[in-house]
Amino acid sequence: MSSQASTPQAPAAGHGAQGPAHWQPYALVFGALLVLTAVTVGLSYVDVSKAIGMPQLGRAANIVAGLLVAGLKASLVVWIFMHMNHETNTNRFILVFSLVLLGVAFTVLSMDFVWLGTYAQGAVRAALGGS
Amino acid sequence: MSDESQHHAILSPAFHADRRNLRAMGMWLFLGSEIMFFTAFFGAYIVVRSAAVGSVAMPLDKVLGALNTVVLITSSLTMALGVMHSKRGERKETGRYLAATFLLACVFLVVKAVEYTHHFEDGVFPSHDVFHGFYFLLTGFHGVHVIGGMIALGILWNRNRRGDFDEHYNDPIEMTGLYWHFVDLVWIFLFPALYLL
Repeated sequence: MSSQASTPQAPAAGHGAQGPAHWQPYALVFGALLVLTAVTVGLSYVDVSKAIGMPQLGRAANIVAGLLVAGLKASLVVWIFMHMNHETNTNRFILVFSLVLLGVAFTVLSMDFVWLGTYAQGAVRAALGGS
Repeated sequence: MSDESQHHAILSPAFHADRRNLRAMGMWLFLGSEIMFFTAFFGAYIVVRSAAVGSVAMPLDKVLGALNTVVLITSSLTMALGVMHSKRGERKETGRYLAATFLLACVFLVVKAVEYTHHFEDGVFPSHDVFHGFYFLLTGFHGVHVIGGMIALGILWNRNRRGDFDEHYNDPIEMTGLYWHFVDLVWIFLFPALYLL
């Protein structure tokens, strides 16, 4: 579409994806993804809870940090590689709604462990063979 | 230029945009259902890991996992560039980037096969423990998605060579690109969840 005289620029957001007409944004995201992969591997050798001065968090700090980096990588892929920056609002809604459902599922599952605590953990451990 | 692409050239830009947006909607609905598919397995994995927090010594090879992450990210780049060239109607470049994406998918599966072989040689099968049950389940389903994407890439490469696509009509390449990036996305979460955290 970039070759058409009537549309010299990429269409405005929310009117269907055309994506960048040049390779530079893709190369930039690619570089960022490589750096973030190195960061996430590096984090696995560090005790994040001690690094941020909250040792009581233990392993949870590493898990949260790792998932934050993965979320950042995923956002870059969705926004640039998958053209969400130019996508129609209908298609944006479908993605957001799916992610909301994902959030509901993970929240409900996690509540078992946050609120029921040792009872739920014991029940799962028992189901796993009492390890 | 094939008959099919000549046919597309006489249609209005608005028609092409509408058709593309509807196809993208179908693909995003499919990807939404795929998110739910992996949510089920990830959710079960969260429950198991929450119950055993601190007691799992991650047994997988971080180097091979990171290597495969780089391979898949690179394949996402080549896919995005293939889509970009297909939208410009540049057939030769499109074909090259589709082929590169296919080859990188092969590399990913070879590395995965090396990992699986190591596990089997060590006598580690899905029934070894709960962690490995999830490991084989999640990476296995992800691998099936990679193979499915490779089949689509092969078909597209042939259709592109045949001249089915031009700057007016390239929806199948863009939609396969969306699917391929999704496969990359799943791995972006699988890698830390299974290898690192």
